[in-house]
Amino acid sequence: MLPVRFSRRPLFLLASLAMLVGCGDADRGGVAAGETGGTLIIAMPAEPTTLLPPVSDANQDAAVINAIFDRLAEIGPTLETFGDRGFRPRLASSWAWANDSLSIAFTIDSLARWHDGQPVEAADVRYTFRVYTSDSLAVNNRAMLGNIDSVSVRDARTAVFWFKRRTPQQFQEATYFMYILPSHLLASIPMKDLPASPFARKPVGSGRFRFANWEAGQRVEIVADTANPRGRAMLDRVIWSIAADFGAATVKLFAGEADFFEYIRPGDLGQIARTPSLRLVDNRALQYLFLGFNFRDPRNPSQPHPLFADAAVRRALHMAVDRAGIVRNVFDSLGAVALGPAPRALIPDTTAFTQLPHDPAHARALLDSAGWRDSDGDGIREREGRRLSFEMLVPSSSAGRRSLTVLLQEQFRAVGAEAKPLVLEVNTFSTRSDTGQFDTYMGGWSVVPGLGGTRQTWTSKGSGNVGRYRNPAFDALVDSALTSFAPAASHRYWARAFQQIVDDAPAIWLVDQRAPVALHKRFIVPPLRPDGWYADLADWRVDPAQRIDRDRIGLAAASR
Amino acid sequence: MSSRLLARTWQCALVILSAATLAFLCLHLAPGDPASALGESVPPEVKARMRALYGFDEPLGTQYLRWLGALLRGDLGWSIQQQRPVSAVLRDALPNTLMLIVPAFVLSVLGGLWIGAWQGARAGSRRDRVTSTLLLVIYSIPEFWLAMALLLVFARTWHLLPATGVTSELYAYLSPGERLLDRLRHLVLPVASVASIGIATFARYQRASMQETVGLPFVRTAEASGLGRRRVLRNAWRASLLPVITLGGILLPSYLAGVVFVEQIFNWPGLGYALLRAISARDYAVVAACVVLGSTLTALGAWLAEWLRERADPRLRVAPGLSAGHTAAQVAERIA
Repeated sequence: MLPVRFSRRPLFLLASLAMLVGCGDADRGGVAAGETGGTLIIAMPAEPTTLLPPVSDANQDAAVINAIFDRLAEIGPTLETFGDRGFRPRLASSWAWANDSLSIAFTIDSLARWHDGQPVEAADVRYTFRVYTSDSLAVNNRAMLGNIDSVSVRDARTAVFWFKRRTPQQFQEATYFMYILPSHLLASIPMKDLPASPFARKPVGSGRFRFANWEAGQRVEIVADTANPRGRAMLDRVIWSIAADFGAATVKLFAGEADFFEYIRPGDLGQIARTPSLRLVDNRALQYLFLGFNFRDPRNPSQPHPLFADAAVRRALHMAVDRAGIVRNVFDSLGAVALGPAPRALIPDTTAFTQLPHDPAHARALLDSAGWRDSDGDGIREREGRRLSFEMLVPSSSAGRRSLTVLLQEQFRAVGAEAKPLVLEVNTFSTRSDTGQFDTYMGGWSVVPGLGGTRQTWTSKGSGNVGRYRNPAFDALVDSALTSFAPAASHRYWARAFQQIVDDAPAIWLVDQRAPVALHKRFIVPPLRPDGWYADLADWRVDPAQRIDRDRIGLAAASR
Repeated sequence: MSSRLLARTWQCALVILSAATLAFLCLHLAPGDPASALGESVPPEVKARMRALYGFDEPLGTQYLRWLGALLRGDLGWSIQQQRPVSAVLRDALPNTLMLIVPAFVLSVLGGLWIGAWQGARAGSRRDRVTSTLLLVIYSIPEFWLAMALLLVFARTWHLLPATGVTSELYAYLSPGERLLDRLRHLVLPVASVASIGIATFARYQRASMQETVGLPFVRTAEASGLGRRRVLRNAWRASLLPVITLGGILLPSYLAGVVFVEQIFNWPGLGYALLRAISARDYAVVAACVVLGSTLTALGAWLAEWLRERADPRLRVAPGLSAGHTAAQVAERIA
């Protein structure tokens, strides 16, 4: 899981490579014909940092990497992560489980080729695992690979993953978190030098698009790989047009210089509706926002927090908030009330656990019973000389979160609590939240399919659990849910785990975000996958009847 | 090289080192580091590993000495944000900035000197007053505001010119003639943003200098001796250039500073654009390198202005204590 911040994508990692040796077909100068052809220009409010998948952690890298590289198997549109039934072959044409389920043998598609023409082999899979688990690199997804003991090569086309223990998520661990890298191009480079290798900016992959060009600060271009065994991409080329910020990116979109923009804000909806060439495409992004409480005293972490160690206070503040009202106010149709520490699209049964109600009267009674009373008549409660007053950390980069804090402030005041928003530059926000220097913080996570990330973000030992919420019962329920091989039993455990954390209220679950994208009307696209709109980019196409000039260039090589 | 220029050279080196050191220290003293700049999405243990890999967890003094040692060896370091050598970052950014500054500076000088000289020769007339008012308005507008106004009117509203970037996204697929036109169209708005204010600045100084020169005895003498008005004014203009040359050296750094925001607004991937991105990402090496480069260009500008002044006024070469304000007798005495 990762926090919702534009430039970061959590447990995703991608790959990279070094020299581009073009496939001959790309230079043939074919023109758009039939269903294929066309140019998609994407406005992007930041430049990619790297196209080497293991060390990429930025959202703006993910789409490019996903188009150039392949995983062994690809998750399906239902995002089912239980076993392998929700996955489709990609680089691996098939796989076989060992009788004890502690190993999976993947057979590489015999037709699979790197963009330089070399065959994809099992050794590439083994090498990729070594890179992703290397101590010489800061790999974001490494924590997700902890259950994989090793990868061995049975023969040139068979790679075997060996696991430490059986879990329902084994297959996802082996496939979802790694893009396969070409060992024949990278193995000779010391691991620590990979991020600095030419490959990181000129990658060679095996996907249906191949890398074409990266002009620093200006654009990244990929083109259809016409020799790909899974079929060429429908579009001829995709260009990411790099903008300095969100404002500059929207200028490109509305000036007609771009066809697509991912980061739509409520304020942009009206202008998109008024632009005849654009339409909104629904995108169920796996993101949620919350106000997290700190269970430890920020001045003395060995001590419990003077306010929020008390569950009654947390529950009272939760009940003071009209979540439906503030979500409607801030996000309009782009959000729904969050139900817990996961987007509802991933919760097996959203009716199996109950929410804390919006009940200010009950909230006041809870605070009264906890000893918090307004004895001096200033509207703010006190107890033993301490006011019920706290800071809310919020990153300046998020307009939505800033608006939420203003509304929360008013609703807390109505029950006698004083909340002081502290808007911080994102580096400062990140530093203070990581180190526990806060009372409450306006957090956000963008999660990957499955609920495995819950362990990382909300259990006692989770590195992302910066509020230090601890409840052994919740930890046990999450463990049981993640290790149960019977789907029905797993769902029951999840329901109990969600009920437990809702009752404990380590955070106020605020918004389950939708993230529709703006797209030029001439494009025909399959439903966008919630974990990444770009997952099926190779199947996007242009309506032949609506082609514009830039769709007619064909695959002629640019004279650079 | 005169002792005066030699001293100026040492001053420049000191200024460059001081500026770079200040930039390095200020950025390190600000909250956060390149690891924290990765944001909430990256687990704390990954950030910790990154700090260890790149040495961000070492004492500030150690980091500074390592950076300084590398700088003196000509190694500008590694950009954490862009994952490539800083020298490559600058190699990409500097030409774009020069592409913006050079035409803007040339336009500013040519336009400013012409308008200023024209005004100075007619100081006090109605046309001079109207022009002065207009120039004052332009001079008072912040560059970023002017840039945004031009963008709004010519790109977003009228769609006459491209809104952002150095070239169009499909530049590589254009014919040579179309490419040239494409580049020129992308240059118009950012160069106009920078040059407009430059023209106003140079014109104001040139006007004042010209007005003062026209009143000097040698001009009256030249007119009285029967020289044509045009020739007299041309000589007066040459004599009025000295303070404007100095101004050119002083203004160069302001062009670098002003272009930072213009680059951001027009999405122009130059030094300013790289610098702003690096600051937000706490990319220490890039920020320090940009400051080194910027202060080097600034110091070079000052040095060049000094050299030009010596070329333009022989008295500065012969007797460094003298200036245009000294009388002929004083000059003769000093030289003797």
